[in-house]
Amino acid sequence: MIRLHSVDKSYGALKVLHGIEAEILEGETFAIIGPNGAGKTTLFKVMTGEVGCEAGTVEFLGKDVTKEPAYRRTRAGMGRTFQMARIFKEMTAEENIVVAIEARAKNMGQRDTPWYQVRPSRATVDEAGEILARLSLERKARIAAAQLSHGDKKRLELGITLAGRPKVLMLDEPTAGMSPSERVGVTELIRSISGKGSGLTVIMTEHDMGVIFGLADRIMVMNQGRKIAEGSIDDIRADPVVRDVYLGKEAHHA
Amino acid sequence: MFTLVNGLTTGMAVFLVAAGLTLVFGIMRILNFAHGAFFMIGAYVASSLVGSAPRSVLALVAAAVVAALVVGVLGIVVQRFVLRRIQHVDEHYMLIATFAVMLVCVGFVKLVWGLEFLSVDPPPGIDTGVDIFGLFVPSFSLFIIGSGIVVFLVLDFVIHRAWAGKMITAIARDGWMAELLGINVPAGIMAAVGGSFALAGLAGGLLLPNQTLSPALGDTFLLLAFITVVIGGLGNVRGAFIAAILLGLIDGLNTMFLPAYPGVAVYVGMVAFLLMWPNGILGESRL
Amino acid sequence: MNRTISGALLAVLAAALVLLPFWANSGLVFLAGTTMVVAVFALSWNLLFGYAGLASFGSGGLFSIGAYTMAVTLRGGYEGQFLLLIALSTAIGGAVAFAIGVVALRRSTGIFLAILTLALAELLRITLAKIHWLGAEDGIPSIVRPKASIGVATVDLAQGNHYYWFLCVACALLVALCWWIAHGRFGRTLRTIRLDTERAAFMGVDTHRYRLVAFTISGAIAACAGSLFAPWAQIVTPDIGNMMRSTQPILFTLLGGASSFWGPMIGAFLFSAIEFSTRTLVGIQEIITGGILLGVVLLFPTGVAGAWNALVARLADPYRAEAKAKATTLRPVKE
Repeated sequence: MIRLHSVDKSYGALKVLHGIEAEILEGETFAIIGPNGAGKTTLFKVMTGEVGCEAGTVEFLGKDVTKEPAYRRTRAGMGRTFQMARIFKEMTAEENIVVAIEARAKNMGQRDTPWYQVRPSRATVDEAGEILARLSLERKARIAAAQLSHGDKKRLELGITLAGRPKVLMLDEPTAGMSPSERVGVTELIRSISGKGSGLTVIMTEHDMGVIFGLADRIMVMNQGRKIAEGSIDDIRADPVVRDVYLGKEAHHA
Repeated sequence: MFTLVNGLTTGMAVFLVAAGLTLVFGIMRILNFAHGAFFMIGAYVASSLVGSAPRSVLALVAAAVVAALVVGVLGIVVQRFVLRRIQHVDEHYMLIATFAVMLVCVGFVKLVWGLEFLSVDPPPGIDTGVDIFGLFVPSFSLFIIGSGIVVFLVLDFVIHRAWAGKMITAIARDGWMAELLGINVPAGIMAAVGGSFALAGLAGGLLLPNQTLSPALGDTFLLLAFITVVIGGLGNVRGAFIAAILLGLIDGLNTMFLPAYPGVAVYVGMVAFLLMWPNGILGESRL
Repeated sequence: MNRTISGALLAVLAAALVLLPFWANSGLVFLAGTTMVVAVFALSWNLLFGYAGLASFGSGGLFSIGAYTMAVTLRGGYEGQFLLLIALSTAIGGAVAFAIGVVALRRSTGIFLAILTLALAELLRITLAKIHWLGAEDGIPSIVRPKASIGVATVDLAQGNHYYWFLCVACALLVALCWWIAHGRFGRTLRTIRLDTERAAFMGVDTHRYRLVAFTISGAIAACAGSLFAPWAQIVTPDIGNMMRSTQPILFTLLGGASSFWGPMIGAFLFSAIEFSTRTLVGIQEIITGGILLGVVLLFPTGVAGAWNALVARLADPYRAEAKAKATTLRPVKE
């Protein structure tokens, strides 16, 4: 699905990614974890095209997309959310979804609205309604997005991304700043979206281990800009290097 | 050679106006549309003091200093009631607010000094020319070039060497941290902004002779000063100095080779420059 | 309720404008015609600012291009094809805006775009003032008001108030065009770009291309307004595109409210009213204008239209009004 080959990235003199190699397989849920400043978000940005990289390549669906801008990668099937939910605050929740559907429809060459018509088409509004219902936001459709609670904003952003019908769903800290009960809700939501039958690939960064253990098929651990481990949950739990990083050397020896 | 002197004169005149503009940006991140208007008020104040024929160079400089004080005080008022409130809004709204201040200033000038054009002669002592290596140079040009260099040196010293400059730099970089270190941030900003506006007033006074005073005076210099400030890197005094010299030289060459189209080269150069280096010669600076 | 009140007000205003020549003197009629043209001009600017998030400080240059194109072609004896000339001016304005946009938008937004466009407009102005063929500083005087023929019917616009009514119709059409652009899918997508450019790109929107198209459309409409203005004023000078002209739409938009489609028009008419009532007071005029503008920016950042909407909405539905007001207040720039 996505293949990273020896990716390097620096911000000025600070090198934040060192020769990252990774392959994300179709249909799996892949989690990137690591302490703060490990380079998770930067790796995310390199994959989505938000920033470029100095060396290495990013392949998506077998095609080299290293030089492609973000909007082209999105059109090819990447859909992402941000750590701080980014939504169109002056628009209502429904409008947020409508603009995302319209952008997708245009990119995919689906035109169901006559050129002179100002309002979004029936089909678009219906689809927006369905998406909002899946996110349990249907009763807040007419509320300005700025007025939504933190958790609802993150749900709405997920909705914007889903409206693009991505092949791979990339979630940057999907539960950041949420209460434990909101967390459970979002975990359930992601599971229902990315369930085995959906064929959807999910890549996520996350701090909350509960969320990761509940969702991930495979985990990659990063530290100081390097990949230090990769494998199933049990592999990672047993990995001595990971124990060093998370528990410290003394704890390991003790 | 003549071109060089002419160009330098224009350049230094523009620098005198641009210095305050770039400082206000460095301190408050506000590009002040009203700067030209304050320059104009400075010129009018000074002209009221010296009349149409100043008695001596000293009288002119003294009038410029008074103008600087008056405009500096005005600047503090504007900072207190307008600039401070718009510091954290969208940059477009800042431009509009300072534009509104400019309108008020222009109205004020029309109200006090009327619509007639005023002009002031250079004072005795710098009203003739001097002979440098067989070349006749108007001594008023030398006066302006000298003023520009002095102002630049003083500013550069204050910003990079003196304690006051370090304090202001600290405030501009991180106001919160500066406050933690016991610096009186509001007072510091007020003093710095007052000083920057005073520079506009000073420029108005110094550039008074050979200038036709009209309520549109601010516009002419404002655009050139804008160009200088942007090319030099917003908030960067050294950059503005270099850019002003460049601009003066370009204008000088323009006058020599294309006398029928005065000013064209400056704008062409500016557009080309912005497209190539959108961040200015020395880059943007928070002072 | 909000819509009904605002709609009724709009209808009354439109009717008053159309019937104006029957009761007002020619000075007032001239002012009204000018205001209509600059209102459309301001609308074209806000299409760029309020929807695409780009502030041009050189729109006066495009207005000037439209006006000069019209003046030159009319002088050249092409007054028979008046409607074609308007189309030509519009196309030239659009082409110039496109060319500028291709070069400028790739690199600069915000303050840099502002200064760059300002410099370009100024460059155009001083160049126009030097071209003898275009009358240099004196411009092109005594422009004729031509005949306009639509199919079989021909109207002599030089007669009486015919050109005024022609302006009414033309401006109404342009407003309708702007409304259609702003409220359709294109306008919605532009708004997402203003609200969060990066998020829009991650919906697969080619933000650069959308901005370029918006820049071009805005420039074309500005030039169109300029071309309508030339026969109305009957003279064009280089100062038709000076800095004041470029800042006009900005003032109108801010005064009226950038977040509302009708904001720029409300601002234009309010501004004209203020200017008209203070026209005899030298100096006071600028102070009042500047003072009002300052008050608006500091106190009502959503402009008159924003304040009006909030008022009407509050009367209708207090809960939603508050939500809406919060959603559209001035957003501080973070980071």
